[in-house]
Amino acid sequence: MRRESSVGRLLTRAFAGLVVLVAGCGAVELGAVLVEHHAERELATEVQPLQRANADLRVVLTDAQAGLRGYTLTGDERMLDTYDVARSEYGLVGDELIRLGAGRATAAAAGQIDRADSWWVIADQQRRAAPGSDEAIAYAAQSEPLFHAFVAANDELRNAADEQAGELLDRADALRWVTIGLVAALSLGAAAVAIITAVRTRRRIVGPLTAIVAEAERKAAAERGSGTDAGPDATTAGGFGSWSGTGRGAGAEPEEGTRQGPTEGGTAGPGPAESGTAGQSLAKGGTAGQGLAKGGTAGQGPAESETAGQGLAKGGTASQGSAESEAARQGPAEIRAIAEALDAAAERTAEVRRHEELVSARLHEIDTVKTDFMSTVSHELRTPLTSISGYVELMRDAEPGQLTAAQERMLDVIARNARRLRDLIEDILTLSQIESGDFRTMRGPLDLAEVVLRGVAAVEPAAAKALVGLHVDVRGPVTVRGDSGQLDRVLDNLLSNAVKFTPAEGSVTVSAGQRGDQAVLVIADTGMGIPEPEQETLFGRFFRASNAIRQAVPGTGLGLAIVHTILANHDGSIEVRSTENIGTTVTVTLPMADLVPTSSGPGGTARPANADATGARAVGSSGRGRRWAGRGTTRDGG
Amino acid sequence: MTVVLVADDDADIRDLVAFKLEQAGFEVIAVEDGQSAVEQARGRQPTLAVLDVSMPGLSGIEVCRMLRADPATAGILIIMLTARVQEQDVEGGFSAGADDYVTKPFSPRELVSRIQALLSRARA
Repeated sequence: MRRESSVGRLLTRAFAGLVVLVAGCGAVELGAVLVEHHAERELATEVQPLQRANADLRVVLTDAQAGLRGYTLTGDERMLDTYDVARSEYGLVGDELIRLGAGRATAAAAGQIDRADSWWVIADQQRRAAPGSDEAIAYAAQSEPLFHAFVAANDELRNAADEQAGELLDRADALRWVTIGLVAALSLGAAAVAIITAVRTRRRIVGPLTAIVAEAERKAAAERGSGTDAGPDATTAGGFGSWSGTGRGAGAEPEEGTRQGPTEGGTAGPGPAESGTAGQSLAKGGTAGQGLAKGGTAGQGPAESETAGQGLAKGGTASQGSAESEAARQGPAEIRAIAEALDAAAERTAEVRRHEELVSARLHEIDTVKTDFMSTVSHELRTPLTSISGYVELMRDAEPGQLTAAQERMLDVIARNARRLRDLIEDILTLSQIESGDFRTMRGPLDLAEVVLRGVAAVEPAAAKALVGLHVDVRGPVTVRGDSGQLDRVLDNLLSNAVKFTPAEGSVTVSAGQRGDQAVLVIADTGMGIPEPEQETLFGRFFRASNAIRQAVPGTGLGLAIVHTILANHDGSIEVRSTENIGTTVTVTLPMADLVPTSSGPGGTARPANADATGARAVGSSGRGRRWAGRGTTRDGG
Repeated sequence: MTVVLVADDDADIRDLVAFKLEQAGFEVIAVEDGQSAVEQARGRQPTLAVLDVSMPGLSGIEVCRMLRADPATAGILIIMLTARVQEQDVEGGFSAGADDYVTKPFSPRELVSRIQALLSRARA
């Protein structure tokens, strides 16, 4: 449409036309009414009174003539009364006729009065003559033509007046028809204008508006699509990428892939969304299957052909030349403004998303760098530690020669601290990896009962050595979703804590089972406990209970922090109840996996209550369990 | 006397392992990088090799792969020394053909018993 077109202008023009037509209608009607009124007035005030006066005059003269004729024939005096009355009325009636006839029928009225006057002259002489006399008869004969002349004149005036009245009525009639025609025409015109306006308004406002609404809906759908599809996928891909990147020892390639991933995603941002996401995921794809799947989805995405440029308007220029802009350009100014506002909003949304993607990529990059750094640091620290603990071991084994008792004590201190350093490095590395969330993608269904029995088997030698009784009551299977390595770690930390802080002849009781829709694990010991005021900070990093430090129980203070983080990653929870010098009870709950068997009665695969450590051993400990267990962990409280 | 090849770029650890193995009655060839390890393995035909995973140039895993690929050295028993305890490192070592692995920091005593276990298993 033209530049100046706008809804306001369009409506103003349409309504102005309608108002003109309606006003025209009214004016025509009014004019017609006025003219008709004028005609009626003329008829009532001029023509009809003239007709009446004309008729009156005729009656007067006819009465006079009849009375005179009767008197002349009979001599009856009463007849003369009629004549005399008529004679006296004549003056008034005649004057009336002259007055009413003024202008329209002056000449006709005057002529009639003249003829009447000339008749009256003869009639008056006839009246004075004796009735029945020759003289009277002669007058009568003389007045006869005069009377006829008057009657003719009277008829003439009457006819003229009738004619005039007829004309007036005809004119009014014609005017009425003209008015009806005009009003009908104007009404039809107004109706036509209204219909045309409605159609045009509809076409120019409703059409573009519908287009905009459709476009907005399509855009929203595209946003939803890109939001739900690309988002989690990208995160998953990122998770996989960093896992493979940091995980593999020889992983020069995967690591590079991970580093490039976010950067490439960053540069791809301004381009079409698909290529950005696909490129990112492919670049990250340490796991090829994941990357390819992602690429495939992006390629076939519903948003691709029609909405891609517009809906996912990642590029600043992408919003132009789209279907929506086309619709907008055809509409009036207001609709164009709406379309532009929508465009701008979409662009802003796209910009925000782009920014979010960049930030998330950056965060991921930082996270990867951090994990890489931690991995490198722990490696670099472990190498010198190997030398320290290795040479200490050689000396304590008396390889280079016998040691004095003092030398041996000193080497014990070095060995203990080297071990402590090693534990710290392991725990810090573990915590850093867990916190980066990389492990989350490794979750799968597993039986918590097996994890528990594995942990029990691993801690059993330490318990036997410390003369701590180990009681197990596991009612499985208890299926949860989790990472078995991490849950092994939880069990290892909690069980070794329980054993470590429990004095000889004490006991540790482990029970696991299902409670409602929760998997519950309880580890209760009869150990030294945690002082009441310190229980709140139990899960903080480097927390160590004051009584543990006093009694020189080794530990890094990271064990429970690791447990807490792992459980949080598994949507689980941990609760610790402790009384100093009485014991500690740790309760862990995890959500059950969906594929839970209906019920696990005490029979079934459940282990008998209070199964001793030997019973637990029968289940066997996997190499993995051993490996984790081989690493000493901290108990941060009783 | 059983000949054991020890490859580690860290001199202290190399000496530690060499010393402990000599004490245990082995003849030790100590080298400081992967390339020398491959050369010595081909030249001296040791019964067993202790390879550090992360060495400059050829890594322990690459050395392991090369030894396994060469029929002349394919029979050498291999123990990997790794500072990383991730499952993937261990799997990588085994897929390259290692017979066992020991993670740093390790106890020299444990290393020796692993070696002896491996040797007796190989003889059986």
